[in-house]
Amino acid sequence: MNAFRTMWLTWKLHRFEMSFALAAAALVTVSALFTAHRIDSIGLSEACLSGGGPACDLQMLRAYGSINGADGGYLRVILTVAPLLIGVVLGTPLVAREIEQRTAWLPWSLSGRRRSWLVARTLPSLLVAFVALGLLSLGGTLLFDAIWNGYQQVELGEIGAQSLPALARGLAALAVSLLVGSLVGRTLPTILIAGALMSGWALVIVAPAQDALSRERGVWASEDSEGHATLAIVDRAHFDLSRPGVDGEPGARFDREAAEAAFESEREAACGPYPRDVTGDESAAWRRAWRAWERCTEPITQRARALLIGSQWSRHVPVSAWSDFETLDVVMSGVLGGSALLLTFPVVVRRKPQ
Amino acid sequence: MSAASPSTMDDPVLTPDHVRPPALEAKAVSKRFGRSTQALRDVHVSVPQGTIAALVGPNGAGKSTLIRCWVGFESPDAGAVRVLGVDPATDRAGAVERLGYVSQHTGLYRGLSVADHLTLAGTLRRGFDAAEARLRLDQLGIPLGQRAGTLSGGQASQLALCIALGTHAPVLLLDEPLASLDPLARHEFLNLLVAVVRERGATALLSSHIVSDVAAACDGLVVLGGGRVTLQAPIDAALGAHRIAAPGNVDPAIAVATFARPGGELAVLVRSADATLATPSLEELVMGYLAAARSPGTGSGASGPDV
Repeated sequence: MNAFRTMWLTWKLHRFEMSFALAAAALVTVSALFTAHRIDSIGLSEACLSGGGPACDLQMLRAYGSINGADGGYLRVILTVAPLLIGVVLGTPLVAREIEQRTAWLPWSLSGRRRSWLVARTLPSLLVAFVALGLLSLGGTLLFDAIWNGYQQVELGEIGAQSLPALARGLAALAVSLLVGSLVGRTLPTILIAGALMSGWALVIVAPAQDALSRERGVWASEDSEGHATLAIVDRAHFDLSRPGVDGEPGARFDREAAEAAFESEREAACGPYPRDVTGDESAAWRRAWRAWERCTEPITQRARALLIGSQWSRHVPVSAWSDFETLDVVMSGVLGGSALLLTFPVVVRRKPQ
Repeated sequence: MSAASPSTMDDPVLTPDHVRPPALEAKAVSKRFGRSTQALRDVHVSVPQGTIAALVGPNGAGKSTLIRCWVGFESPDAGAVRVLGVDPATDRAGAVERLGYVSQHTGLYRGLSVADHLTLAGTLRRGFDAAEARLRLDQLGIPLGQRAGTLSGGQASQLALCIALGTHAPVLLLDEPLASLDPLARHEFLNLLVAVVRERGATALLSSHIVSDVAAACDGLVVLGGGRVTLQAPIDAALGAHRIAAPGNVDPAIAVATFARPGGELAVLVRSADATLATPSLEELVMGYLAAARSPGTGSGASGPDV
């Protein structure tokens, strides 16, 4: 009965942030499910996304690209940030606001057992966090299942947007903001500090793993110079494997200059040299010549663009190894969150109310 | 505070009350904040059980710091404090269980109702008497369903007091609860406090800088100035042992301090029971000792004989 009362009062005290967390998670999850459904409804085959070529229907591929690039793109960012945001929003006020608004004296003067108070105060928020983050986790998982249908390689940066890593990161954010709030005793600085720490953390745990990845190619849906559905596949021939990694390609650098020079030669061979406006008066004759040259070179330019853009994406995780990275992410987030939570207890016990 | 003679700046420790053991003790307590602020300097205080004592002093005198040491919200740099023999530095839970505390800032949860506060207290404090607290709030006309954020300052203080009283704690610490109250609210607050404390035989320490308010309610007086205890005594004994004299013909040996009375007239507080001299009001007594604390070189506050 006492536990129920405590949870009810904690809900009343933190109902705004808890409601916000649940509503935001529900909204994002519904959007993710809807977008996943839209992508599934296209009916794009797994064979197309994994291999391209004749298996692809151009209209379907365009529809996929449109959803994935617009709504899906926004959602992927939101799903990556939302678990951290929800964790910070739920964790910050638990102690920081008590100290800031000078309400801590009441519970702390009624009972000297602050550890019990902290547990009772934190449990309802953890419960709400589980529900909200669980929803996000589910939404992210289903969305990425739809987007990645047939992908052989996926981006490591999106690991925190789905499944257990989303849950673990959100809970870690809650624990970190609880600790920071106990130390700082102010709400807004806690949000800023905890937000910065968790963003840094998300980068820190991904960066070493990403640096360790070395992929031969990056693929995504596009269309070729003939207007046929295909995948832009970065050709090994365009990588100078003997050079150290720069431009985001560890161990293998895409030789952009060589590729561009090759396309330039191809354009000149097929359409002649670029017509220069020698007189500088943009005469009708020059404009006719320029339009003809543009028409002639457009397919080559399109192909070059697809290849060049595609080649910039190079560090991906094989889908077969994804679960290993997820496990690693969950373990590291668990260590961070667990440490923060354990450190919060002695900090709260020693904390002076203002 | 029931001792017959007051202790003063040169011997600020209350003469031990052998009849009633102390409920609150501070022994040689010092507390510094940062490098420049010495909040408490070698403070000795003893409040006997079953008394109501006023802790009086100007802003910044160290009253809140001393009270927070008893609650365990501050740790003395030197010395020790005890609540019914329990040192909060080593057993904070034990000390807090013996205390009912009303903070300087009512600091109630704005979003919770009055009833919610009683429920909260019930979840935190074993044996909290919510029924009694409800009854008192009802008598005070404070609706249980009203949100704390919409209570007046007086109502908020009364709620905080009702929570503290609902703990049935043997010792009550009240840190400037009267500061933001109008005269009527102050009167009601003190009436409730005194009635309950007397009925239960509890002990209360009430800090305030409004001397006139505490005069009727308290048995004892502790004057804190500049982080030091300058006077500690039963109020009656302290008043009986001091007189007001005109400046000029005062024996320096018995002079406590010269101070300005309301209206600007200068007067000297002396340690004397001379019936031909005027008896000081409690406010004049306090002002004299605060003036002595501010300029310890004047008068004989630092070296005069005990009264």
